[in-house]
Amino acid sequence: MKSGWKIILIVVVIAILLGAICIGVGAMTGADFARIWATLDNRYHVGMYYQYFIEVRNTLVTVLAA
Amino acid sequence: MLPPGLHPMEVKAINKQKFLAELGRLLTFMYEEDRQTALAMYSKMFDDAAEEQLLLQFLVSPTRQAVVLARAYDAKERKLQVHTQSRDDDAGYADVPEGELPPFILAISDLQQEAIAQGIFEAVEVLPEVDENQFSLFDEFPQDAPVEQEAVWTEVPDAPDVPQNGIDVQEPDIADGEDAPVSDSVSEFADAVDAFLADFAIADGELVSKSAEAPAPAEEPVPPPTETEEAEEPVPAVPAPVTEQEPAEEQAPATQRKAKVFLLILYILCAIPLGILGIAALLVPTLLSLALAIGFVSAGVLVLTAAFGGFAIFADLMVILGLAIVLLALGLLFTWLFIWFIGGAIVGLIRGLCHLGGKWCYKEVSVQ
Repeated sequence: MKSGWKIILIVVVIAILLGAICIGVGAMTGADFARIWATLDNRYHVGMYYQYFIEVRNTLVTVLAA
Repeated sequence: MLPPGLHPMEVKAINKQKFLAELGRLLTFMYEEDRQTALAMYSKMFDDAAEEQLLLQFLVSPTRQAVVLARAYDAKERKLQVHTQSRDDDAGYADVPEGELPPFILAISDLQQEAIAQGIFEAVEVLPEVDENQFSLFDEFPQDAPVEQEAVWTEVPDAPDVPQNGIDVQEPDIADGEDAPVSDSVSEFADAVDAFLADFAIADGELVSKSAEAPAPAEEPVPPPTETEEAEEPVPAVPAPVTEQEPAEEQAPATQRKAKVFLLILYILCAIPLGILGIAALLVPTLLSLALAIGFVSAGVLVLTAAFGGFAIFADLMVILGLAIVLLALGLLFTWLFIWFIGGAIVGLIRGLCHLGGKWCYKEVSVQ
């Protein structure tokens, strides 16, 4: 288990660093986050799901408060 | 003449060949050249002994001798010595200066002197047969040995080559029970060997540290030696390690785990609900980890798919790829966390409860 933790943490840290470098390079070379969000929303309807979860949460808060 | 602490069964079924074969097998830590030298010296002792059984009793066991040699043998230092003394020299140790003899040879010559002191060798017949090389081994002994001891060896005819500072050092003092310097050095050496032996036993013919083995069994009580016995037998009165004639299982004290029934029932009644509560408490973070792992991995895969399908600009693609890698990394982390909760924490809790129950509710009872 200990060696497992070691390996997993090393892999995760390396992957996060690599991802951060990619994001940094993209941001420096002119990436537009609004455009990216629009593309993802167009493809997966992220905004709709987000809106749905917000409504569910508000409903739960109202029910629990009553 | 049986040394204290030695069971008669340990020496009954051994002879010179077996002793030397076993000793040779135990001396593999030595360089081959040194091993052959040591075996040759032991073989010579057997040849010179008046009675083989007496010598075997004196030597106790191959294991004991291996430990004596192991204690006196420093492989690193020996390697340096061998390199220093040009290995081409075939003259053996005859030409080696007195102060440069390897410690293991000195240890064997100490044994030979003890054997001589106990009358195991026939002095008149033996001494002329000992070759020159072997006599040079005794040259290390202190020069200030009592003068009267030489009387013993002046009786020996045809031994003009024997150095005056050699073998003739210890006999009368041991017999008289006085505290001579040589006697002190012998007893110190014996104590050191005993202390070393206390940490070892033999299993399947190999030296094994007792810490890695079952506890050593109690030996037969040995009556405290009288002064006369001490003078006659300077062999240490510490239990000898088990030889191949007696398997370790026979000597291990038989114990049995016996349940304290009332405590066990009480423990089960408490441990089961507590265990279920603990498992339930651990299931919350476990399932949360699983949900997060599924969420992150799914998001990572979706973003990665989108990167190759919906983006045409390189900068946007790089950001999306970076995001996908980060999400997948987090997914991997939470997946591992889930596995750790299942396989480590929950299983550990159950094992811990079982172990605690075994510790509290069982006791070791010796079986007679």
